[in-house]
Amino acid sequence: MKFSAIYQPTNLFSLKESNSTNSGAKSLLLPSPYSIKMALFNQAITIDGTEQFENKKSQELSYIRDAGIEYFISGSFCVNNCFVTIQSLRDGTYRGKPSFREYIYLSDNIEIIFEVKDESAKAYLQKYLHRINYFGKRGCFFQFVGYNDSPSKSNVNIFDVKNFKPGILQEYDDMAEDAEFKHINNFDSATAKRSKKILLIPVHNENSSKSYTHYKII
Amino acid sequence: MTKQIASISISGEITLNMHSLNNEGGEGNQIMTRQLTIVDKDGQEHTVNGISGDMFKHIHVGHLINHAKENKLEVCTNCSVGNPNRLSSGEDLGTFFSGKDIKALGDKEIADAIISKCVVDDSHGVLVTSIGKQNRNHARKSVIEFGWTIGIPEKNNTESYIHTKVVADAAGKRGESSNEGQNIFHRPANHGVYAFVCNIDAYRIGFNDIDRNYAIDDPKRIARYKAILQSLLASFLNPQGAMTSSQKPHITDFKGVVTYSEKMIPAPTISPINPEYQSEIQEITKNLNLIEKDSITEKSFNGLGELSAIIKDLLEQEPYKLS
Repeated sequence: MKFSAIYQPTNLFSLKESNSTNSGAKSLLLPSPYSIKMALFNQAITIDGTEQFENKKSQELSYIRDAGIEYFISGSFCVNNCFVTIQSLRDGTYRGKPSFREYIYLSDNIEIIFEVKDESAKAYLQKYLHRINYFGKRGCFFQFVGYNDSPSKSNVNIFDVKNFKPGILQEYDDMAEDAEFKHINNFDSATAKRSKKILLIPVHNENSSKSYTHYKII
Repeated sequence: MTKQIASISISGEITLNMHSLNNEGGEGNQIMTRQLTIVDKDGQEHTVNGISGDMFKHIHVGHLINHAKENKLEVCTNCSVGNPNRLSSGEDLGTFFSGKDIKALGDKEIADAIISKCVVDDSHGVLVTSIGKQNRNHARKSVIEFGWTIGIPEKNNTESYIHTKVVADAAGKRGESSNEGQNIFHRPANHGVYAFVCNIDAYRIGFNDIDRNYAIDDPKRIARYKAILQSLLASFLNPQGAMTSSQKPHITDFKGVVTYSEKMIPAPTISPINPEYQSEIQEITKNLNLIEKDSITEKSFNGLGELSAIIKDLLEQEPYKLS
């Protein structure tokens, strides 16, 4: 079954592509499924603690991990090329270092579509989704607007070379099907388990200069 | 009756004149101003001034350190002298854990130490990379967050003016190679109405994210809550950031909406780039209160005077405590 949560971007969005370096990082246009699930875990842990996830067969863990995530997007995406100073560790001390970052202005709401197996999974996710106020980098605020039980049809699809459509390609992370809590927990030494998929974002380049690129929905 | 405040958000239009808070760098003798391109509802592009959240974070920290010292709140050695390395360089934590096996320390103990040692590290976050001489990584997330402050289309602009350093006997006889001769350079002066958004997760003050307990007692949490809020108000009244020694911003207006939550549901924010942001926030507040009864309160303000009255009322409340 499917439902969606609608969020209004409240500030510039930035989420480094996972293969970026620290000095130069392009941003994804949308919050990745991994970042959305991490935001859900953050709320679930803050409110109800980690105990619910620690069992290998935790149902709550599977509600979040196994949720399918799709998007319905509209409007424009303005990617701003910025040089910002980051604190970089050199000789045991943090020092300022100019680094490339992209900050994206999203003109319209985004609809995040969840596919879950039953009502209990839906109820569990809806306990936390309206409490999320940012995705990706902290300060990239999104405001929850509402739930929709009849979600729009996703217009961001997995890239299929046999069914070519215009758009731009980006690689998005998701949680691996066999990930346990230790693979998600930042404070555990176990390596994160992620799956990757290439999404086709249906936008075209409307305009650009050295400092920005304006993508518009097709 | 005292309320328990879990989160506070401010969404507002702040008018800044003759400021240079958004410098991106210099090319030759021209200081470049940071600009962003955004798109309005009709798809029309607008290039506007942008001040990154780091600048307001920097301004807030400056006031927070002063407040903490004046009120005898805990401040680490680096923060007490405004060093941005905070607890990350490891000396203070090395002393704190002296005689202990650093490798055997649990994340819970390190988080407790960070929180109890310093109000700035607690509220603005830190990435610790060493304790004493040993490498050890631990991150604490910020309690207060600032988004980009973005110029509202058609209500902002940037100009440039020439600045000359007058040097007596400046005929090039001495000092030119060490930049001591007469310099002419160009500085930006920006003005406009800006969309400002910030959020404070008051429930996280003193909160150890590892074991979900509070590392400091309630009176200390309340003192830190007041310190964060008072420093936020001071940040608007007296911004101290880039080039403020000679281009102190003239803040001529600030209007918008303060929302606060008394439950674990974030206080809503909408960017004032959206002309309907005030009514949108009211609508969202109404809906969130249907999802969780009496969770959100929204208060509009028109001017810094009204904002200060709202913050004064919030100062009389207490930070929410997760049980």
